[in-house]
Amino acid sequence: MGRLSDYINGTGAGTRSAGVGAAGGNDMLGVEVNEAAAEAHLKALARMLTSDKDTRKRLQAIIRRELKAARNRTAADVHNALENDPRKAYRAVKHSVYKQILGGNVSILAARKAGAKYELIRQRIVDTDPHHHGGNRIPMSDRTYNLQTYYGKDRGFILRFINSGTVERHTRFGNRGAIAPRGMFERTAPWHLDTAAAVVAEAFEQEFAAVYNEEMNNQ
Amino acid sequence: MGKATSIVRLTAETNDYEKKIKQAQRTFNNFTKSLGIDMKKVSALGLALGAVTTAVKVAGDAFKNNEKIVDEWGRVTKSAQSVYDGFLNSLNTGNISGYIRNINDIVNAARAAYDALDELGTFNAFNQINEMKARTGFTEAITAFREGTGSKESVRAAAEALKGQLSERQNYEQTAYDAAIRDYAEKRGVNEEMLRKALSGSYGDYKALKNLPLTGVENRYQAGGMFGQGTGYSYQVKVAANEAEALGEMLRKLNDNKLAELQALGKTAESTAYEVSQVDRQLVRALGQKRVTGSGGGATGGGQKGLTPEQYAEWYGMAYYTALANTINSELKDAPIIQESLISEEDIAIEEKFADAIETLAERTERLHETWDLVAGSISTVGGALAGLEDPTARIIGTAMQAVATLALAYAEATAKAAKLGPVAWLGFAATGLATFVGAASTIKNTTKGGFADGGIVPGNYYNDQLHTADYGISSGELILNKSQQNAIASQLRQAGGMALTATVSGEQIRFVLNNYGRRTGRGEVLTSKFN
Repeated sequence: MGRLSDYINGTGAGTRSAGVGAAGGNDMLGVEVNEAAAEAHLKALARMLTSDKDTRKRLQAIIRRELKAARNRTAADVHNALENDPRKAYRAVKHSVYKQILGGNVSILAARKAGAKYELIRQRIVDTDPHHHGGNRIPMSDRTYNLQTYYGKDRGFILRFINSGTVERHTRFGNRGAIAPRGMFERTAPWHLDTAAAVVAEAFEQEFAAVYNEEMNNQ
Repeated sequence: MGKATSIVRLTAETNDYEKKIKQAQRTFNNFTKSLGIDMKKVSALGLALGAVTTAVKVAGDAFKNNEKIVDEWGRVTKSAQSVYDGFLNSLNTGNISGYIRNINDIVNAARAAYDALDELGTFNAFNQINEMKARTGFTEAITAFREGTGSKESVRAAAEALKGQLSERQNYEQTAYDAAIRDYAEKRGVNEEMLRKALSGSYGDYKALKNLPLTGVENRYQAGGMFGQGTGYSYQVKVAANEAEALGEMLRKLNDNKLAELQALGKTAESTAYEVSQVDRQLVRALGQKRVTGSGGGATGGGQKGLTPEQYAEWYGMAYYTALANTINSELKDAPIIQESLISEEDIAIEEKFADAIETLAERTERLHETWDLVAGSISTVGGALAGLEDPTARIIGTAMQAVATLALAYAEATAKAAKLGPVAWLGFAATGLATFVGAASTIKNTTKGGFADGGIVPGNYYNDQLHTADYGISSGELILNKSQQNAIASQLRQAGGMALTATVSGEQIRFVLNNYGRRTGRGEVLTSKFN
């Protein structure tokens, strides 16, 4: 049941002639109709609209999956582009999927809410003597302190500074100079997004075929 | 802060897709109504699935920023369009079987044309800066040389660089022109070389050629008239006259806008070639050398001052043909009456043969009339079956789809082995053809308001013969075919044997689309028509 061939050959249940005219019309057209299959076809069409909740969810899942992959590749490229990145700023590359329209983005913009928490660098444990109580007695170095305690959770600002550059900063301690823009994000992200777009397009096609298939098999 | 990008977005344009799905639903429902079934379901699956698949492709394309995929889609669309155009053309000419034979050539030419034009566009987009640099370099080198700071070698090198750039562009333009000519010739079923010649300007403007009457100058001069046989000037005039008339006859079938477009493409390539020659002239002038003219090129060279040998050859060729064309015109004006005494025995034999041929032709015409009765009978059978369909759109689709289904199947078999397109693009191709057809039916519907000299479907919702022409009452939805269309269908029925009669309104088409679908999903060829 539910085979596409039933639709034309009319071997399924509920088959009736679609022939026209009193004599020989059916022979002329050579078509018989399986009403169950036709109904399934109509249902499939309705389900293939993106306004269908189920279909929409499935499409968004595809977009999310591919955007995540694109984000990971972009982050890896950014990591490679940075000569020294002790605070693991490359992890601030983030992705998001839109709710209203089908789509999403990969960005290094500031997070809108405190959602993401990044792994901090673990403190070095130097005291491995089991008889020595009282914890790690070696004080944290200035360097470690700096790494662990800078203000703000989002490291995206480091990336944005390096990616877009800064103006000269004159502080009370002197001229701190300007950061030249590296533009590493724009060199790598669009490329990975193009790849994601192509994969999404293919996946969409497969998804629509699957939706159609499901309906025809469930008739 | 600089202007570096901090965000990249991916969005799907689903409007088109949604629209087409809804259109598919409407088509589906309308078609069921037309078959007199009250439920919203029937065998229009071919149409509906076709439109849906196209929609899926369109939605997919919204994501396809990848140039390669977009190009492939462009090629497929262009091919489908050419196949469709060629089909319409064959309906007018009645040469359906010839069209089926050439369908592969049409597709290949269309793909080649798309590629060539695309390459030209890409080249122009990215190479303008290089060309400008080369041009500036050349000018600067000349200035430096004049001021005594540069060397001859540097001027020559700069000229070579500029020429290289220009030649490359000219190469692309020429390739695009060639491909476009081939594409159009294949599509309209005309000779490629003749089309090229007609647009080359050898015979002047192609519009003038279009107006040249078909006088049969060959026959008039064949008999030995004032020129006689031979290879001299007069003989060449005769040949050229024939050629011009043949070209005019061919051009009358073709579209003016398209011809102008092709000619413009050709002229671009020509003007680039001229630019290359100008660089040579500038180089010679800048270095203060004596210019090489066409005097060494041939016996009659050296006439035109300031032309390179190549330009001279071109000019001479055109002047020659212009002179020929003028002579033809003057000769035709006072064409001599062939005198009896000048006609040789050989000529008389030719005349007799000609008379025989006319007799044979007359016989064949009679036979044609007899055949016509049979054909008319067949047409009325088909018409009777199709008359049961209420929807006028369904009627025209019913007729046309029979042909297209067969064509598409032929194409499927022909290209299945090449499999360059792959099943997905293939499905897209099939769907495009279908969607075009659905669109075409409604276009026919809209454009057939008023007269029916070109055939068409009576528009509107007026039944019971409410609409009146001079002598007859007609109803909306009736299909009117003009004489050439009737002949075309008649010859189609004759040539293709059972093709039109055994094909089904949607059976073939559905089978074609769904079999592709089945192959793709590994279900195998799931559909068979019980009548085939």
